[in-house]
Amino acid sequence: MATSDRPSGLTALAVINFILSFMQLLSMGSLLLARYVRAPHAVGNSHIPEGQAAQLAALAEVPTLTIVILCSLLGISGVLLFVTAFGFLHRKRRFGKHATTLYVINDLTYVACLIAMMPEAHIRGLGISLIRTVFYPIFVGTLVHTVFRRDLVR
Amino acid sequence: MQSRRIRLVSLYSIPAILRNGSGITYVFITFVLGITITEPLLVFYESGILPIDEVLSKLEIAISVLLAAVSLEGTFPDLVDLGGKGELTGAAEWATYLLHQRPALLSAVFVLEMLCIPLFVATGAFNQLSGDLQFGAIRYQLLRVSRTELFLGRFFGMAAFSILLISTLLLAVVLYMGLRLDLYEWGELLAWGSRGILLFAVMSIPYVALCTMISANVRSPFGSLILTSAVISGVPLVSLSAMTAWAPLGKILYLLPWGFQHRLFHPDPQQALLAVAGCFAYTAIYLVLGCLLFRRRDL
Repeated sequence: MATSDRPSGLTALAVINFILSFMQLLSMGSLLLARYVRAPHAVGNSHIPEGQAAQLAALAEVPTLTIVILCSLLGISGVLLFVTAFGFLHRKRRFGKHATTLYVINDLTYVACLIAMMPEAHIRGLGISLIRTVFYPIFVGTLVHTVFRRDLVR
Repeated sequence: MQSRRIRLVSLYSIPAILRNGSGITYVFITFVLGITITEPLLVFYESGILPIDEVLSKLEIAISVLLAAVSLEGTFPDLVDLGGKGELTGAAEWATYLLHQRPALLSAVFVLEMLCIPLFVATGAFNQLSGDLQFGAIRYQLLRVSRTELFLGRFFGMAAFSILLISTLLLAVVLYMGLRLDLYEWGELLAWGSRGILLFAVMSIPYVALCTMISANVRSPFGSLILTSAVISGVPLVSLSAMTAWAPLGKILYLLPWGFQHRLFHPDPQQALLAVAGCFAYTAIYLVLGCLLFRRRDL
């Protein structure tokens, strides 16, 4: 049996990217659901805790254009993660290295837009998970351009 | 044995950790899960679901029960009862120190991370030598260095990597608290945060040494992963459940630093220093044992 010369780190990154691409698409769906289904019903609902109600009320007032921008960025991230996973498995320069760079730029733009465009109550609800959102693109971008720079050459 | 060779092995092993699937998984799990477990604590306060006083009173009971349980003061159900009635005096004082004399949310994060970081280490440090043993690559490395040098070099490389990773995680939490929450002064946050980072570095070393010992003596990386995870998570589970049958069986907890690592955050500096000494002693024991077994085994 032929042994693969792909470092196991790239395989691990590909698996993580496949999982995250699915999760990005789920986040896109959950943002739409929160804005158009949950938020309008939460206003004035006494069963929801005060803090959470404030978050949903703030979300209800977010303009549609903002939601469209954020959802598009999330969707693009999901697709790019899927493409990079494929690129890592096949050690492709274009689909591995360059698509990762695009993903990093896209994901960081998403976080910047989130902070700039969403109401403060919603950002407070996201809390420390923002750090987690920023961590992965920086981590994968750094690895692809340093540790794995000579592996994505095809 | 030459220290220069040990240094070289450890230096070259750090980029190799990142090229390895287990290293990537280690970073991912530590950072993502490390942040995720702190999230509920902070979100409760940040989004105003609960006022800070209510968060602290709930935390005080939970932390005192937890500290009493790992100090083997009784079985878990009894301790929960006593904690609810406010009758855990020693552990309650300790929890009061952590939550009222230090930045409370940061202390709570430290207690949670203290329970999880040994498990993160198990999922990341299991493949220091076992992969090379399985594929026979170790024979090429042993042409240039001795077994002891290779063993110690891999240990120091993984220890440095783990310390860097855990410190980055905790630093991110400290900076987030300083920048986003208006609860604590930067001075007290940085002082307690840097002490915490230092103590977590000390706490993680014996677990890395344990993983080095196991991975040097198990030929398959998967076997090594199963064994390290089972030992690190199994010892507290077995100890705390066996204690309900016969109290002295709880001492099984001392097979690993689980039994005293929480004392690193004890208000009495003497206790904290003893815990630091304990961590180094356990590291030395695991390394000596592991090295002796590795030197004698048939490769």
